[in-house]
Amino acid sequence: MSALAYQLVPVSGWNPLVLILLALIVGVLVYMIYRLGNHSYKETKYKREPFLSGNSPADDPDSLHIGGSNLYWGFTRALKRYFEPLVRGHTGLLNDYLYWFVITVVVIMVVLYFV
Amino acid sequence: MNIDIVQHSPALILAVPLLFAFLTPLVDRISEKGRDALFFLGLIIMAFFVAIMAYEVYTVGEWSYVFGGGTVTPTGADSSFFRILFVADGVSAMASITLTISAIGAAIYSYTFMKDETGLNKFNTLFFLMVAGVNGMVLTGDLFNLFVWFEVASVSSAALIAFKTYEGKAVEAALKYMIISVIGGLFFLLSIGFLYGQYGVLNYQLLAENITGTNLDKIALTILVVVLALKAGAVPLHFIIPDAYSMAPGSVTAVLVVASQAGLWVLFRVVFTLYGVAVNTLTIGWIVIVLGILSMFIGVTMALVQKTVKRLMAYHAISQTGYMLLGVGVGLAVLGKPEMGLYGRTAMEGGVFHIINHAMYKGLLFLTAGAIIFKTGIRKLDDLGGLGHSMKWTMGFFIIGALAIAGIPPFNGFASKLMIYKSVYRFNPLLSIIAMVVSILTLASFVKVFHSIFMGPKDEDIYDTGDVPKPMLAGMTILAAFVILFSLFPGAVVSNIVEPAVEALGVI
Repeated sequence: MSALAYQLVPVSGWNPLVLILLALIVGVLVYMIYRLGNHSYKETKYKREPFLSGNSPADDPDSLHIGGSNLYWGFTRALKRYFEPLVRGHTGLLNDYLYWFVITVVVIMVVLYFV
Repeated sequence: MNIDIVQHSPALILAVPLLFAFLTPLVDRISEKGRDALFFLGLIIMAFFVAIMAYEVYTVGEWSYVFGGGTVTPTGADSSFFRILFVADGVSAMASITLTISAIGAAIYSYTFMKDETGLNKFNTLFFLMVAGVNGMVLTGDLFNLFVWFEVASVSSAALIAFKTYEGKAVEAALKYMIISVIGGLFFLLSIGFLYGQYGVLNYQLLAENITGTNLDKIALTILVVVLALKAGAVPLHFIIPDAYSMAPGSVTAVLVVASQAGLWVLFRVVFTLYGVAVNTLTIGWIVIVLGILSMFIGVTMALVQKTVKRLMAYHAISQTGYMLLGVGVGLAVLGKPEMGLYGRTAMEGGVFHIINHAMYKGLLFLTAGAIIFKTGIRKLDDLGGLGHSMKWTMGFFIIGALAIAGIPPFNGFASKLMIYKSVYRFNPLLSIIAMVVSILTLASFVKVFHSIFMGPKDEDIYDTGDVPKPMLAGMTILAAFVILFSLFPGAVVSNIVEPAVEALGVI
């Protein structure tokens, strides 16, 4: 096997160069389709509305940006019973850090001794 | 006098940063430019010796370096029995390469990132000491010296976390880091005492020959595993990581990631090289796997609810550590069994490959976070937005790092995660499914970060135009280049760097 071929041996059946080549081919095809349709496209406000659920674009540009804590609000709200005790457990207190250290030592010691 | 540089390279890798740590304050009294030049010169010379050592390890083989000459004998009759010993092997070579790349990237980045700070002679000295401490942890061949380098790395890391003393939280984080590290270090010393009391030796190789799995051995192993998992930031010992990573200067955090990984390397040496099949590897393997699963899942879910950029990234660092523990834990669980050849070795290689990948993309992400804070002075995601208009290069680097950490093909994170998924699936499908779900949550979390920071309208009142200065971009470029390189040629990295490291742990 040549030196170059040796460097290109796939990992777990994965060869990124094949994917990149494929992506390039698909990219060229997509661009060609885009070029075919784009020259006949005419901008009207109605063509944008489907992407805003039929609403008109907001006048205030600041309102277009959704802050970090608003994203996934529904997800974290739905899993409140998981997240609340988890966040509460991260107290930031050094004593609690050490409790967990001691608890982990005891648990692993018991497991190692009896299993 | 003919000095064999190759033979002495393990010692020189340590000697150079220690020497430059001492020289920096002296040169600073004469010239600030000289001090800065010394900073880069020291790291480049160290990189030279790391390259020499790694080349020798990969082309010729591993060797032990005994300070003062001689060899280590099991009888103890030789005076070199008590000498300091370094091991140049696949583990130390890979760990030193990872550290060197991160340190050079971070140092170049620091040139402008830290230029408005006072006391840069102390910063440079502490940086050199941290690098020396981490290199010492992975190079040493005996437990007591491991404890010494563990302390050197911990003390210098704590001081660097607190470097911006005017930020009160940084001092608090450093104090916590220091106390936890000292307590961990003392427990570590206790476990060394248990082993030394039984066998009268501290050397890895000699201990490995003697350990039989007594109850005292198991107690020592428990403490070693917990302390090293604490250093690596595994759940439920992870609490200090978000505090430390979020408050340290951006360039320091990139190297702190590698410092935490030194804990992982030593953990792997302890469970594979030191104990091996002397204890029930299935039990120890499952302990490591459980730590890994907890780290992955709790790390990523905690990241989802974070409101500041660096704290969020710190929780992702914990989550990624879980992948490494999972892969290596599966390898440990099947150590000495036929399954090792079927999938255990691939799982280990995936876990070890993920270490170097993580150091590159997580280091890059922390540098981008530092760049955002440098430019805006804002840490809260809710207060950021629209930076994609002005910080295009930083945004590009962020995208590279985010896609890599989320395991999106063709990036390097995908390559190592794929190795873990496929091999762990054969051990226990549920573990592999959890790992994939965590990867999806990681992507979701980074979509949130990307949207919060870079998307949205440009606010001229808050942000001036332009990106961060060129040295900061250069530092990020180095890490991004390695992310891309490892993404394009994962086979080369696995066969040339990862496999020797796995073999050095005693896995054939």
